[in-house]
Amino acid sequence: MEHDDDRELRRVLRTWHVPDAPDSLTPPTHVRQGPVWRSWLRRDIRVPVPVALVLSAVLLWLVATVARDYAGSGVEPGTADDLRGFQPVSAVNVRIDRSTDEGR
Amino acid sequence: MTDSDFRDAFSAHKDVLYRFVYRMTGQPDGADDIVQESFLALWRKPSAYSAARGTLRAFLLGIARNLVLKRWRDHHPHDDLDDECWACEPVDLVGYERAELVARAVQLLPPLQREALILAEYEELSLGEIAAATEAPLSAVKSRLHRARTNLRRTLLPLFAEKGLPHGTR
Repeated sequence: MEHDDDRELRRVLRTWHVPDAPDSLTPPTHVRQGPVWRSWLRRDIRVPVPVALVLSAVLLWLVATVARDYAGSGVEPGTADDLRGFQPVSAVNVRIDRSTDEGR
Repeated sequence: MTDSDFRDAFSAHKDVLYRFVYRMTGQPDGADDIVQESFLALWRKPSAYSAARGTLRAFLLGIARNLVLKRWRDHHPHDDLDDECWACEPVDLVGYERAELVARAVQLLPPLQREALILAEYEELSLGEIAAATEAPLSAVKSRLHRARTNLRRTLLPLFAEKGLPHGTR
C-alpha cells in the first residue's frame, strides 16, 4: 500500500517541470584566482567572543601601561620643567674660594 | 583544477544545480546567481572538494543549498528550518494547473524536508548523496524524506482523489 502511495505521489510530483539552466549562464572563469597575498588579505578567522574580550582587555592594558611609562619618562629629571627628585638642603654653608684671586 | 576541468564540471552539473535552486526557491529569479556563486566557490578554492567525501555533484549541491538556506534565513529569521510538527491542509484546486499545485505544495514544505524531497524525487540522488550534500546523517535524511512525503500526500490529497482527470489539466 505504501509502495503504491509512493508511486502515485511520484507520478503527481513529476507533473511539475522546471527548465534547465539558461544558455546565458556561463562558467565564471573570468574571475581569476589572484596572487597569494591577495587571498591573505581577504582571509578571516573566527574567534569566540570570550577570547576576543580577553584579548581586547589584555591589549588595552598593554597600551595603558606603555602610555603611562612613556608619560613618566617623557622629561628628564632635573631639568627646569621637572622638579621631581629635587632635594632642598637643610643648612646653607657658603664658602668663598679666593684662591684664584690671590694667584693674580 | 585546470580551466578545462572546471568547464567540464560546469557543463556537467549546472542544470542539476539550476533546477534544484529553482525548485527550492520556487522561482527562476536569483537561481542563476546562486549557481554562479556555487561554481565560483569551487573555482576559488578547488581544494575544498575531496572525492573521498562524496561526488562533485553532491559537493556543489551542498554549496548551493547553503546559499539558498542563507537567503531563506534572511527572509525568515524566526522560522524553523525543519518543523517536525509542520502539517498543511489540502490545497485548494480551484484556479490552478496541476503543476502549479505541486509547485505550491513543495514550496510549503519546511526547507530541510523540501531539499531532501527535491534531491530524491526530482534529481534522483541516492540517500547517501543527499546526506553528503546536506551534511546530515543518513537517518535524518530518511526521516525528512518520510515527513516530506507524508506532508505532500496530505497537501495534494485532492489530486489523488481526481484520478480521472488527464495530467496537467484542471
